[in-house]
Amino acid sequence: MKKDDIEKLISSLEDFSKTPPDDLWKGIEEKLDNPKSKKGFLFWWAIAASFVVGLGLLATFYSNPDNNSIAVPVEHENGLVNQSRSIDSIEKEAVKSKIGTAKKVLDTRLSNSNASDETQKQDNNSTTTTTTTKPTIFNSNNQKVFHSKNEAIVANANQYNSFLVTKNESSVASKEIKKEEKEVFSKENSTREQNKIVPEKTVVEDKVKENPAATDLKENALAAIEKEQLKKDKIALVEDKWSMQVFAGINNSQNLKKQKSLGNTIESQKGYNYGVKANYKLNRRWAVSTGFKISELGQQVANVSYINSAKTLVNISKFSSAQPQEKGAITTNSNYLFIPNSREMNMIASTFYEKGNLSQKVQYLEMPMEISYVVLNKGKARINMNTGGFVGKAISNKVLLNDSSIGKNQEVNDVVFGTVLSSTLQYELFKKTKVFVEPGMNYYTQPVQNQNFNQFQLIFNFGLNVSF
Amino acid sequence: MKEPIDHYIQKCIENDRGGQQHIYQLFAPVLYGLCIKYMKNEADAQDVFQEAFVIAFQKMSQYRFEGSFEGWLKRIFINKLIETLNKRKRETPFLDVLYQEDFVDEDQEIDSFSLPQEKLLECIQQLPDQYRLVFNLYFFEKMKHKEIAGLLNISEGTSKSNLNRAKSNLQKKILALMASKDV
Repeated sequence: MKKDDIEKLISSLEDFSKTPPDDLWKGIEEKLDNPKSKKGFLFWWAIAASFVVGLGLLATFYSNPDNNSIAVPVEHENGLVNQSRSIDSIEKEAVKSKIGTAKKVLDTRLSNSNASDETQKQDNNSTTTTTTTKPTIFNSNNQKVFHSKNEAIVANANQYNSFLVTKNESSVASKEIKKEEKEVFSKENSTREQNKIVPEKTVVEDKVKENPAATDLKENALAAIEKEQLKKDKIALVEDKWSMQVFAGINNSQNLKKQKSLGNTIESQKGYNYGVKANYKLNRRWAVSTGFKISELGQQVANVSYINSAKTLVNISKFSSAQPQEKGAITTNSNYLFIPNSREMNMIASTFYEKGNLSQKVQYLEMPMEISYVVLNKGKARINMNTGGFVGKAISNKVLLNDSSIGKNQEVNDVVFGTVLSSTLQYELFKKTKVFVEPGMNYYTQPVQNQNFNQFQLIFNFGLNVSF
Repeated sequence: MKEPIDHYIQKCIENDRGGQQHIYQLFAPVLYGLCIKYMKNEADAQDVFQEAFVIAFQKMSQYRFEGSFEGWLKRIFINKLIETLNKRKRETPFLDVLYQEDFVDEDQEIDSFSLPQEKLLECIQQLPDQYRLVFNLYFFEKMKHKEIAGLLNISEGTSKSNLNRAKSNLQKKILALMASKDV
């Protein structure tokens, strides 16, 4: 019989058909009536829920004007009225007012030097000048907003204080605003002192315009002030930009796809992880981090059938050679032969094989690259959402049968890639030291070739964060 | 008078149970036979048959009323069969084959007509999954090695080698069967 004769023989099966048993249609009807719920529904639901909660927190935090704005007294045709202003606009206003005040100081000084004669002449009218010249605070359009300087600033400061108390805000920006308010206040006072001996503003400006050298001096001085301000702002930003995290925790490798190995369902496996991460703050909300981490991914398969050739004196090389080479084997130990829980088992006498629990553990040195976003910053507490990826190098690979090591899994990939999603709940213990807990989830793309292996890992870390 | 198949397909798209049952009765024997040829035993074939039919009904709206409807259905079933066999391969990555080869005289002549279909099917079912898959796609679906390689995500060389091994394996099984005079 030649191989080509097979084709002739097989051709009789080309149109092979067989009436299926009647109960199969009933099964199909049932499946059509009750569509099977998607695998891992709970998992995806949890992911979606955490995103929704995160977005909800964000929306609540940003959309409520009471949280981000305060009432500021503003000049109106009917007198002073309270107007809701955002923190950002007030912050800008404070800086503007500071520059405005500085301009005034300069104007005053220049007027003293350039118009000393006028000053002498008007010395007797200084009291009147004080009452007529009203140092002002400018808004973003450089318009006068406060009818009465003292009332406005005190009201403004009070509003800030009440806001800071209710919000318990301790951010650097808020502190800066307060500091700037104080500076503006003190400079306003000094300006008022100066104004006691200066003439009307309009006269001074005219004199300055007449003297180009004085204008240059004024511009240079203003540039110097702005430069100094920028330097201060930069220093304030650089502060606490970096932080270092040390953490440790437990993990649980999950079989969310309900995969099987050797005919049995793969079970979860507990492990541990620890590491260190450097965090760089991009701005008040966003940060990036990277570092090193040791993590363990594993799985367990219960009631696995196997032959131990050393124990049973069965020559398993004959069976091993029957395996297609590309499929690989669970362990490099040639004394063990694992048997799938299927019909093939019937071919081997039950006296030859034993049953046991097979567990596998792969330890990785991982380098994560994450980006995090502050979703809540209230008092000493802070919540971050983190996401990113990692690359891992397998540093340990163990196969255990009934808790005794029997070698390595030769199909484990040396390098793995994965994604991470986590949330950090942080609490400030001291000014630069915070403690945190970090629940999250890792996904490994392909830890093992040609075999099913747990790919999801739930993690729970705790640690310390030191900023510098 | 033969009712146009399109009418029942439309009924299936509308999720009409009567239409679905009509399509089932029309194509079930051919598709059930297909599943038996691809799977190791009838129980496995029944599982795939049910799942594939459910998928077919759920995807019925994707049928464009172009070409052979039977061909479209077969394609869904073959994809499901491949998916199931690949999944099985991952679940039992070793010992797919655990049998002893019998010595056979390859020059022995046999009368093909004396071999019942059931026995011939058994021989095919006993082939290792990957050999059987390539064998079925090549002989029954008339696919080229290039197409098989693309479908199974293997090289053309592997496809050819699997087919040769399947043929050789089948030849031995048939001869052994004939020699045992069990047929």
